[in-house]
Order: sequence, then structure tokens, then C-alpha cells
Amino acid sequence: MIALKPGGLPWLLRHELRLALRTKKTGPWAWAILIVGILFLHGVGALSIFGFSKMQLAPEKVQMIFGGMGMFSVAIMLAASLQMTVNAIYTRGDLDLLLSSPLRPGTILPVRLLAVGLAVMISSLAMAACFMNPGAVMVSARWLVGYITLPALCMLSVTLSFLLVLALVKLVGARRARTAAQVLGGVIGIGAALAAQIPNMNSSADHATQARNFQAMAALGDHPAMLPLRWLGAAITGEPGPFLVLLLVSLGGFVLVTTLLGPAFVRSVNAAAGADATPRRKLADKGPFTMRIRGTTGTILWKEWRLILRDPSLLTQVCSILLVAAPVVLPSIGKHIDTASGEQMAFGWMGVVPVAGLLAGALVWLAFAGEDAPDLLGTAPVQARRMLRDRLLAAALPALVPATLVCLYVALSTPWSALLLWLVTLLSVTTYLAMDMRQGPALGGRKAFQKRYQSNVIALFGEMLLGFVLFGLGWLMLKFLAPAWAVSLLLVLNAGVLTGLLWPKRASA
Amino acid sequence: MNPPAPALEIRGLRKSYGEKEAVKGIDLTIQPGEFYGLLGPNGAGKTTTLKMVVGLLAPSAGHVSVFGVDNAADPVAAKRQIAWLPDEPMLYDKLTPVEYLEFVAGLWGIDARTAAGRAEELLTRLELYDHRNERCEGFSRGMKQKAALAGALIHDPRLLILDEPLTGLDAAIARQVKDLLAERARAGCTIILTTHIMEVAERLVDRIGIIQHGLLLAEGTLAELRQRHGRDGASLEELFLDLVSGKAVAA
Repeated sequence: MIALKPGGLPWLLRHELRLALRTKKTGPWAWAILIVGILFLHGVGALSIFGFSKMQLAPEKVQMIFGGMGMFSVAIMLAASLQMTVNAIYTRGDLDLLLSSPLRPGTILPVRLLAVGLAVMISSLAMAACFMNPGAVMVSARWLVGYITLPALCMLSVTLSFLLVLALVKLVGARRARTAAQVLGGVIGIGAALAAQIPNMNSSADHATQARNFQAMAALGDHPAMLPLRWLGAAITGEPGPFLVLLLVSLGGFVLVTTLLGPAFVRSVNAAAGADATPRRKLADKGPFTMRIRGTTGTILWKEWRLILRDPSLLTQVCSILLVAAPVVLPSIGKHIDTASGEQMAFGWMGVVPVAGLLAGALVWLAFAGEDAPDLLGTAPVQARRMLRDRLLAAALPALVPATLVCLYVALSTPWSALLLWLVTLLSVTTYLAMDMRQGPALGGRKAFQKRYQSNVIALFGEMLLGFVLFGLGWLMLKFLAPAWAVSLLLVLNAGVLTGLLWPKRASA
Repeated sequence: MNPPAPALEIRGLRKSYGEKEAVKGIDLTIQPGEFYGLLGPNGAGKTTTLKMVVGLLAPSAGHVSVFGVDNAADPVAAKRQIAWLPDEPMLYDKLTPVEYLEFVAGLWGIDARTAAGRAEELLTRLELYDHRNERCEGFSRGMKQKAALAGALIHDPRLLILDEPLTGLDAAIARQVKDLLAERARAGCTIILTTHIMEVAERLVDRIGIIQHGLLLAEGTLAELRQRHGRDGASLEELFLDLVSGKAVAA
């Protein structure tokens, strides 16, 4: 092993990397899901590149489009790194040990931010690679420049997010800063995802119209206000001048901020330390002492829902779900499906399929992997199967109830399609429950909820891939299968997944 | 008339994790109303044994019955009579003590009126009443352990099993917990306690079992243990150290 000077930045970086590598436990199935997911997205990427290359755009228009994509990537990475930077400050972990040691804050901060950057970069690069690789083969090897510009943009996003979090702690205090940063991250991410889909919202556009739309958007590049966007596009596409400036700004900014703001980081960490320990909200102490007991099922549901609603990361997770679902759902907005039953259903309603499933998956993670007192549940005089059923119900209902309301609304105009949509949504919810209930127990319990996607890129890919599959399955059923056949098939599939969920092979008494 | 069933009866209890045998065949009988201390060095198999008793681990062999109810045949009926309090409090940081007690009472099927009466009494007794509507996340370790103890007692268990309940508590809170346990024992509750603090075992328990390498080395009252191993006047700590190091057997 290379001898590194103890206490130095490389030494601490090696320590963090060693911990990160030893924490990861990836089974063969997870790798299989990851590989299938990446191959699938490479296919999607190749199709997109094929469509893009047919548009025959002028180089400056291409720069404009890449500038827009760069802005989108920065926004998405900023949204993700805002949430992770908050975690880096609010999750103590080994911070007590590090901060009580003679290590300089200027050593700890860059390592923490590099860890955030690495986590953001891995998922972003994995996604971008699915477009860059086909682009390099089908269009030009210059697409591979993205392997340098994307990490640079990532570093820029992490630096910006750190500055934003510090500013929020200063402005609104440690406790509110966490929520504010989560909301800000969510707003930025969803805003970026929506903005990126503007071209897809032109409902019945054919290829020619879409190409014209792209041309019109690219023509905006001539406006002086769009110069920074064009410049960013030039940097991303590897124009030497802008490319070098981008590298300099991202690297220089990171070094400058981490060198100068180490003490401010320590102050924020110390301010955040008391945020959870102080009494949050004291209910009224007046009136006689009473208790509400709701029966076994009611007791379990009520406890799970109370804890779900009080989870400080719930908002972040809901935003993450919308972001994960965005690439699946948003392209369908404004379009219609001519179903096999003869109805015409707005394609956008299909969005409930991945969103409900992802939400149920997140909540079941909280109920199972994030359970703080598994031994209490294990020693309770409740049948194991009943406990399992009630906890699954607690996670499924908050996703299924709104989805059912949406389906009921859809049923007003297209009843068969609504029934199929509901059955596919039920399948989505049960499948995500089956997948995510097996992820636990999480290191750190419920507090690890906020790092669910951050610490598990494979889970992120798996969930996204499942969203695509279920969305596609729903579309195929609606489009091509006669309603009676589709309903029967979906009933069988739902019964199979529900049986697997409620009667697991290893259920103990 | 048949004699009452033992509070806990363990026969030939074993637990293996692959090649490693954590519990190697334990036989143990504890009578109703007894305060029993299970002592042993770290890794001796105490917690594994107790986890099998409370239904958190399935035994590899042997059987456990609680007040005559076979754990394997009717785990729900057995669990209804037991409370388990480990050293790490089984609490939810985002719940208040009242909400936590409501949850535990709901799991054990206690009616609201009875639960409210017991909760009020326990919270007052453990000096948590003024904090009853604050979330546990702001509590000290001692307060959390007291809230967990209230949860263990809310359903008035016949068999209370405590695994290192005094770990990390300050003297005042440890005293409160010990007083409450002694009070429960006097009221007829059967208590099994594991601890590394020999003075606590010496002062509180009626009978002691010493476990090492997954086997019960010795069992009896302190006087019986002293007599059996020829160590008159020895403290429990001396006796324990002699037993686990093998000296007492030689004697």
C-alpha cells in the first residue's frame, strides 16, 4: 500500500474511499439489473442520436442545444448535490471523530464535497454515457469529451450547492436550512425536468414539426442573451477555449471555496448538530390524560403514517421520485393512446403507473429497511403474516389512494382504459413493494432514507428500469390487447405478485 | 392440584450460525415471581438465548415454553406474556412517549382506558410525565431507556426480560430503573436480567445463572454457588471470575 502522510487530503480521501467500497454490497442480481438497464438506455440513446443526426443542424445550433443540455445537467446535478450537501452537514457519521481530531477543516471539507461530487457524478455519468457512447460511434468521437466536461460541471454544481447551503444556514438557521435546501433542490430539479420536456409537449407533432421546433429553439441562440448558453455548449462540445475555461472555473472554484470556507463548514456542522436534539414541537399538555388505541391494524398503520409524515427527508424523496419518473412520464404529456377498446385516453395519465409504484417503493423502504425498532415488532404478539400485511398496506395506501382517484376521474370518459390503468398501477405498486421491501435493514435505520438513491445507484437504475417496463407494459395492454384479455392477464399478474408479497417463502410465525 | 407452570422452561436449546455454535444446549427453569440474573462474559450466548426466548431468533434445536405455552406451537400467546428490553432502546425518535406507549399498547391489544392509566402511572413514576408530548429524538440516553422501559411495562408482562438495561445510564436513572424492577419483582412479575454489573446482580436477583461458550456453567442462589464451589464469603464478582476462568471448577 502507498504510504501517505497521515492527516493529509490524499490520506483522508483514501480512508473515505475504503469505507465507501467496504459498505457497498452488490449481489449478482443487482449487477444484472444494472447491466440490463445500461444496455436498455444505450438503445434509447442510440435511437435519440439517430433522430438527432437526421436533423442536419448547423454547428452553432448544435452548440445551442448542447448548451441547453448542459444547463439541464447542471440543474439536475445541483438539485441532487444540494440534497447530498445537506446530508454531509446534517448526518454526523464520523464527523464527531474528524472534527475532534487535529485535522484542518480545509482537509475535511474538500473530501466531504468530493464524496458528494463522486456520488452525483457516477449516476449522471452512467446516464450520460448511454448517449455519449452511441454518439461517439454514430456521429463523432468528440462526444467522448463529455467524460471530462460532465465531471467538471458536476464539480461546479457541488461548489454551487455548498455555497447555497451555507447561505441558507446563515439566512434561515440550521433547522430550516435543511428543509429549505430540500425544497430548493426539488424545485430546481423538477423545473429543469419540465423545461427539458417543452419540445415534447407539442402533442401531435410529426418529425418535420419537431425538427422545425428544434430549429426555432436553436435559432434563439442568435440572441445576445443566449450567449452564455452557446458558450457552455461550445465548452461541452470540446471547443478548446471555452473547454479550458470551464475546466479552470470548475476546478479553481472548488479549490478556492474549499480552501477559504472550511471554518464556515465547521460552523454549519456545529449549528446543525443541535437541530434534531432540541424539542421540536410540544403538544398541548392540557386536558385529561387519554390514549387512542385503534386495534392491531389501525395501530400499525397509524404508527407508520405518523413516522412517514414526520420524516425530514420525505419531501426530498418525493422530489427524487418525480425526477426518476420524469424521463418516463414527461415525453407522453400531450399525446393520446388509441386503445384496443376503441377509447382515446390521454397518454399522460399513464404517469400514475411509475409515480405510484415509486412512491410505494419509497414508503415501503421507510417501513422495512428504515424500521427503527424491528425487535419491538418481532416480540409483539401479532402473527408475522398480519404484521407483514399491515406494514405493506401502510406503504401501499398513500400511493394507491391518489392513483385510484386519478383512475376514477379517467373512468368518467374512458372506463375500460381507466380499469386497465388501475390494474397496471396496482401491479406497479405491488412490484415496487416486492422490490424495495427486500433492501433493508439500512445502516442508520430511518435516517438513511435520505441517501437511498445516493448510496445505491443500482437501486436507482433498477427502479427507473422497472418504471419503463411497467409503463411500456401498460401501453402495450391498452393499445393492443382486447380489454377482456388485458384485464384477465393483469388480474393473474397482480395475484401472482400479491401472493409472493403476502406469503413469502421464509415467513416465520 | 397441578403445580403452576414454570415462568420459563428451556430444554436442550441450541443455536448455530453455520459452523459456529452460539448456544450449545441449555436447560433452564425459572419459577413464577423469580428475579433471575443471567451472567456471562461478552459473546457467551446470553443475548442469543434470550432472543430465542422472546421469539426474535428461531432455535436450531430444543424448545422453550413460557408459563406452559410452547413458543414454537403458539408464538403469539407466548409473546403476549413477555416484554423484552434490550440495551439499545427500541424507540422511535419521531414519536412522543405517549404515542410510543399508544403503539405498544395497541400491539399488545390493551384497551385505551387501561393503557392510559398505566401510561400515566409509568410516566409519572419514571419522571417522564412532563416530557410526554415531546418527541424522543431530543431525549438523553437515560430518558430513552426509561421510555422504552415504560413501553415494556405498559402491557403488564408476566415475564420481563432485560438485556443490559443499565448500560450507559447515570446513577440517578439507574437507581430509578433498579427500584422499579425490584417493585415489579415484589408484585410477582418474573424478571430475567443480564448485566455486567455484579453489584446489581448481587443486590437484586434471587438466583443466578452463569453462561459461557453457549453453556450454562453454574446456577443457583449466591449462597448455593459459594457453597458448591468452596468460595465462602466470596463476592459474586470473585466467584464469577473464578468460574469463567475455570479456577472454581478446579476448586
